[in-house]
Amino acid sequence: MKGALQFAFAGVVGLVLGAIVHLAAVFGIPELGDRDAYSRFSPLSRESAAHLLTDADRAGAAPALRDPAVATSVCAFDLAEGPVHVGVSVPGGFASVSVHRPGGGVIYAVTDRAAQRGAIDITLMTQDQLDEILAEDETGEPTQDLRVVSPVTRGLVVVRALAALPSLRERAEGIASTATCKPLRAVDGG
Amino acid sequence: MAAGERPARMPWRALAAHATQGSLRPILLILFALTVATLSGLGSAYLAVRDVPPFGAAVSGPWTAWPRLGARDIDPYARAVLARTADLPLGPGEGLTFSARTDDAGRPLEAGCAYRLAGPVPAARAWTLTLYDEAGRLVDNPARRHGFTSAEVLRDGAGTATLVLSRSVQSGNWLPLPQQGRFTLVLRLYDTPASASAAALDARAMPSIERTACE
Repeated sequence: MKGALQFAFAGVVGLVLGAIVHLAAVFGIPELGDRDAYSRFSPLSRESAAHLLTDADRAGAAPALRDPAVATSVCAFDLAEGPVHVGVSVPGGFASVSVHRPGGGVIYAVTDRAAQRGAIDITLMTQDQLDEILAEDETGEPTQDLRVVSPVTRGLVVVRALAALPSLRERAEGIASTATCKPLRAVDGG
Repeated sequence: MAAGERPARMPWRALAAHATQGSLRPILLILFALTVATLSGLGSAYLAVRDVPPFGAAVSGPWTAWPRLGARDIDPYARAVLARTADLPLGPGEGLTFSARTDDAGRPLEAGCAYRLAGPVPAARAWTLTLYDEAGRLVDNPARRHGFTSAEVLRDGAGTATLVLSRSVQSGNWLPLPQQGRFTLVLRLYDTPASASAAALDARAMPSIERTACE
């Protein structure tokens, strides 16, 4: 009888430890897993240009990525070398840019409603980089770019363009595939 | 009897009795507790994040959305779901994704039946309705029709769109169903004010899914 009680107690201790294991697993999956969108799509990303996701890229991906009426492109960014400029020209129709952190989670999202002169321009930077820019900015001129502070140095930019009609498919793919993600210094230099 | 004195080849039953009564018991208790911890912890974590987020669903009739998936204050469970599915959800202001696996009466959507989809769609700059099979794939069909967008759907004089879902060819807004199995409908609202208040959507704001016939 005493043995049975001891095992029951060990079971209760096990369940309490199990709660800790549960939390560790839930918090650990985004950090340690390699099946998240960043791990999956950042290798596709080319230098300074977005990669238009093909049907093959999207096969087996999660539902949000597989709207057949939406052209989607991705590019991975790394702010370690400095701020990164994201540019998307939006001639009309729904288009959006969102910034995602590794492991999952939206940092920022904006639609073509925020476009100026037919383009969405975003400069991604860390808080330190923003502080530096503000300290060096002596002119005090308002900036044309949307400045977005990212809490992470690496992540994924996703560009979506809707083809409301099948005949607009090519235009939507053009919007998504011509999006650029360049280090800010390269943009300044020309 | 001490552990060192036991015979080299002890039968399993005797070993078990020895372990539960003898000096091996503390070790066995610890092993038991650790096994319970591992199985219950990993098992419950897997069940919680294997499919859809366990919290934050906005349900409206047969439609369900998880607005928090794209929110900045995403919870750890939703984040683990994203990490497992390689999903890149629509962000705040970008849009909202609703999915339906049942009709209005709660019966699973079956390819052998016919459905009528009618009623209002929440205000949005554009919407798309897409049909997926059980495995989440687009369904190949001769009409090359996987869904409708708000721009291409035909509307009546009052501006209302009615969609017919069936395997047999229909006139109007016909969405072909797969040959067999269950299917899922996904309604995506792009650039919608509904993003912010999805939890407040009621069933009347979403299109109804009515089963009209079954083979």
